[in-house]
Amino acid sequence: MRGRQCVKRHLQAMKHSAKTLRSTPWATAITVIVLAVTLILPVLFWLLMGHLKPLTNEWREGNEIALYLDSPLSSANETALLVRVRETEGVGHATFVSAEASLKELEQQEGMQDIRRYLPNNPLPSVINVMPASTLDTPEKLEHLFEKLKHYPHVEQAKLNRDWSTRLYALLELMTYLTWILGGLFGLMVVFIIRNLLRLAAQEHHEEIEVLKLIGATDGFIIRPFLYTGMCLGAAGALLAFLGVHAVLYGLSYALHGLISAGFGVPLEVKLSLLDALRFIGFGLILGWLGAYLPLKRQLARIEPCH
Amino acid sequence: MIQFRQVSKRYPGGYQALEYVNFTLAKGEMAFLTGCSGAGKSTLLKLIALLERPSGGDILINGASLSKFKKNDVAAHRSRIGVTFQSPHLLQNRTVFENVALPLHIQGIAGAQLAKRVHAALDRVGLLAKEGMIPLHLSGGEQQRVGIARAIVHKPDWLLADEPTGNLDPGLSGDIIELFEQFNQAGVGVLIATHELSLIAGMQHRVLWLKGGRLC
Repeated sequence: MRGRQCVKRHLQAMKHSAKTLRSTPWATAITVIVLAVTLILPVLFWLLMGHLKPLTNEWREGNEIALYLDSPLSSANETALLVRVRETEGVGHATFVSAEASLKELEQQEGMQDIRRYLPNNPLPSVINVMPASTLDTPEKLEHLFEKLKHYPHVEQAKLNRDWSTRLYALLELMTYLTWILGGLFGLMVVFIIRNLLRLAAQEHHEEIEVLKLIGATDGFIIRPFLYTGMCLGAAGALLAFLGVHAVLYGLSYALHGLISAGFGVPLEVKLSLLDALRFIGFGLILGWLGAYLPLKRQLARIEPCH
Repeated sequence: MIQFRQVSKRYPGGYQALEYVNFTLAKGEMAFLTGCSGAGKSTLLKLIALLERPSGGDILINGASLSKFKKNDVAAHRSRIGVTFQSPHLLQNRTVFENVALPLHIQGIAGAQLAKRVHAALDRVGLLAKEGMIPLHLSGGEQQRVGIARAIVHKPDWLLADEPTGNLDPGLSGDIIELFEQFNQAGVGVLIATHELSLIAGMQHRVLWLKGGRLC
């Protein structure tokens, strides 16, 4: 019975809120557009960051560690070292390239066909090429593995080309940080827009709130329609932003098409799912709720009926 | 039952509105509260409706001390009483029906039950035909009656009326008092604050006289 009563009250508040929004269609539409425009930029950033994330997998592939072994080294020692490397935590896979195989590979290069004639013996060492595991997603972790492998017995020298990957990682880190900051700031902006709007609405309904309190309405009863209005605006703004982002991405991929076919740039393959839409709307609902609840709770506490 | 025990009220600034007021109103009783302007009539009603808090003493409603009421208890207490003032405090952007329906909305009553009770209340005050109008288009007496309908629609235990006939001509005033008597006969306790002695004359109900904040 209590539950049904509660649902009834919420339905009442929703109806009231819908009526309020319908009674001022232009103001509502403009607010929703402003909220959508505010949300589009951080959302675009967020999606593009998601698109750039696979690049971090690519940089991991470029981060192969080469372990140059002592020369000469017995076959048993080579095998034992390969097994040890493969069992090391953080190693994805490791392949052994013998000194002979390296020399053969060199011979296949142009101008090197008769290199053996000039060399008294094979100067190339055997190599273990190590591909780090996908869990090593930061330069620090990679560096740690490199240091560990470098000090294994029979490893004469180790090499890791870390410069470009470190820069790329730092750039991605910076962009992720900027995305969060932007998201936070623009989210805050949405909260403030809704807050100001509903604060003004509450001021406009000051007399009504006094009467409601006089006849026994709780703060919850009074604040509920405002909360639903805030949540409605937030959700509608987020939905419109979602559609706007779709339009922007479509336009971008169209614009990039020419460049890609000319051999420049990478294809933009950012797809938004229904789940993304729901996430957007959920985010908008939360921002709308925050924008309504925080200021109104205090404002309502200050209004007391008088006559 | 309403009990005042040594109740005093001093407003910020030092004005003493009530001083050591003691009285008891039995459940379902109808009484008048009278005295000249500034005697403390409105303050006394405000204290019962918890629009003000006493500076001293205690007020008990059905044995419960109002001084111990928390915020949500205040709302629940107000929803158990009906209050009507000289100015009926109607919402001008809502129809007569919607104004009267407000206390029922607060109680979570909706649909057919709400409509039935609002219509019954409007019928009691003779305004059923004007349910769709906005208060601004009604006369002072009609607005007062809408305020009364709103005060009784949720079947309160007590009806508090502060100068309910202050803006009305004598004929209409008599009608309003008659309405209060009808509610009282239906079991609602009624306390009417008025300075119009002509209204009280000839009535069989108890009269509480206030003078300078004290009961005489």
